[in-house]
Amino acid sequence: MTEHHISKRLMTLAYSGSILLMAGYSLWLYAMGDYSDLLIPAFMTLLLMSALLMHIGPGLKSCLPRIVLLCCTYLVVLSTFHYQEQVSPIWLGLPITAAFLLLPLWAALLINITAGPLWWLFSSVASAPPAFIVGYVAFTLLLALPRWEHARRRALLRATDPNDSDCNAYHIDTLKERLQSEFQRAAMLNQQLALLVLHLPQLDMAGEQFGHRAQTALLGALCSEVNSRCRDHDVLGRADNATFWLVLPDTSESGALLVRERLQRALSRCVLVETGQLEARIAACLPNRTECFDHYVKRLEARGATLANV
Amino acid sequence: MQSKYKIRLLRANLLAAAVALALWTPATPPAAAFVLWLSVGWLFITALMLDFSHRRSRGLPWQMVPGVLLLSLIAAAPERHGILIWAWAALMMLPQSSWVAAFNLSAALISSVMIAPLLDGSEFILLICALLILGLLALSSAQQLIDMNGSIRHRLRLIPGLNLWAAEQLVRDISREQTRCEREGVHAEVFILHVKRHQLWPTAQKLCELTYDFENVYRLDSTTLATLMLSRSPKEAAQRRNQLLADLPDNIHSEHLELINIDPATLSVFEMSKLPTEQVQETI
Repeated sequence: MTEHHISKRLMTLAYSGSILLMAGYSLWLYAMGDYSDLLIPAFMTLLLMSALLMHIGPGLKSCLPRIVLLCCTYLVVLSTFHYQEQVSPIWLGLPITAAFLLLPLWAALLINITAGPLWWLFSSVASAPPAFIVGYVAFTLLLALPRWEHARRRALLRATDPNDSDCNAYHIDTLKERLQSEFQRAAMLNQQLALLVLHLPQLDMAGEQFGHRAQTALLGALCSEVNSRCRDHDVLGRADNATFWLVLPDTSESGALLVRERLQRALSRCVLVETGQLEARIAACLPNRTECFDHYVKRLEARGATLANV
Repeated sequence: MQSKYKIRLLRANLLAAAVALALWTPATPPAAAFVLWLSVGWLFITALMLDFSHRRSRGLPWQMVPGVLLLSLIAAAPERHGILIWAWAALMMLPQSSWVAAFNLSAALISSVMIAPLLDGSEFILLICALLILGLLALSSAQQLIDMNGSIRHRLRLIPGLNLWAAEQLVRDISREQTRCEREGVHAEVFILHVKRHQLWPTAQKLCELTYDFENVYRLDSTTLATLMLSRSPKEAAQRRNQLLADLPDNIHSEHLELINIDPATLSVFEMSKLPTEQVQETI
């Protein structure tokens, strides 16, 4: 959580800095006597203040102040190009960069493609040499690269993270992989393997009535309860939206039924604020001696579906 | 599948940027043209070498390369490439180590001084301030990625779909497997392989194929791999070790440690990869 604050604090600093910059720019225009150009930057200063308040205030979406900041940047640069004759075309880069930093990648690309031709309506840009157009295009393409790199890394993290994004359990791909390796291990070392299918009937209802937070609380309670009551090498994974599999290596059927009783009792003692007593349906499902892995997985999925429809 | 798609788009963007830069070269002074072609080459090579794994993300300060290229692009023709000054803000978006960030920051300052003659004084100050604010925004989004990275990095597999894990995972797995193997009466040992640097990834892939699915492979450092081998008896373990070594390239040095003899409380990844051979001989 503390790290998350660093990023937010940097944003706060950026918003405050942009207010100061805009106010400074307005004052400078005032001092130069350009009263007609003064109006837009002065108004933008007020808008940016509201953006800062929106950013600091809790409960608001973070995209709104970003959009305000971007609009301010665009408007000020546009007005400068409109009112003043001699503006260096370097300033074209400011709104493009701001768009890439503030918006999602697709939105930023779209805005820069549509806004591109607009700039050539202004005399100070239109008089620039044709090589400048190529430079503008190259610059826009270069700016998109860090965002793509971000997207690549995020996708990579998601692809290599074994855990489910909502709770402390393996996600389905890793779960199947671990189950397969336990299946193989049991066959290799002549051991027994057992599996419990857990279903949370309250989950969908909790999502509809109380929203995502109630769902997360429900999932978190289940995972922490199961993880604290199991051995270190038991594998808990989320097989389906409301269905979990608990893989119990080297466990006999009677052992699995014992674990089931223990979990049932522990889970029924869990009481959550919104959904009340935690309700869980648990069934044991063991592989047959000659069963192949794919067939076993199909049987497990069918078992989960039956539990859901009780 | 979606991740493949992202890689392709990034590659397309890299190539498009390279082409755009190449089109920018006509009618430039030779020095600027040289740097432009250098940048085109770098973009091309990056596009070709791009892969979807954690192989290259560690250590190498590659973020310096675009920094150097950007600085030389602006230095070669400030009046022509002035607009590139804003790219410094985007460059700060990449997560980078602090000294690379310091280098990029000072390079950004130098290049902004170079384009100062194109602007009048107050405009220049405005530019610096705007750049600083954009830099803050960029740092904020870099920080978001670093946070995400940090929380997931410890439990990460190194290449999607491959049973290859980071060294931190081994320390956790050792203590877990010790109790488990004791209970189940299985003979387990840590098998460590020292390979040449360039052999690491192919050997790791081969090792993943040769071992069972339930035996993880770990990358301890840039020249050391390890795997946790489980067998019914020490004799079978020795057989499997020999089989493995026969299937792997010849110039690999290997060691093995019985899992029971490892004390997880005192163990660190670093010691593990630096293990002297004599100590291993004792434990046999």
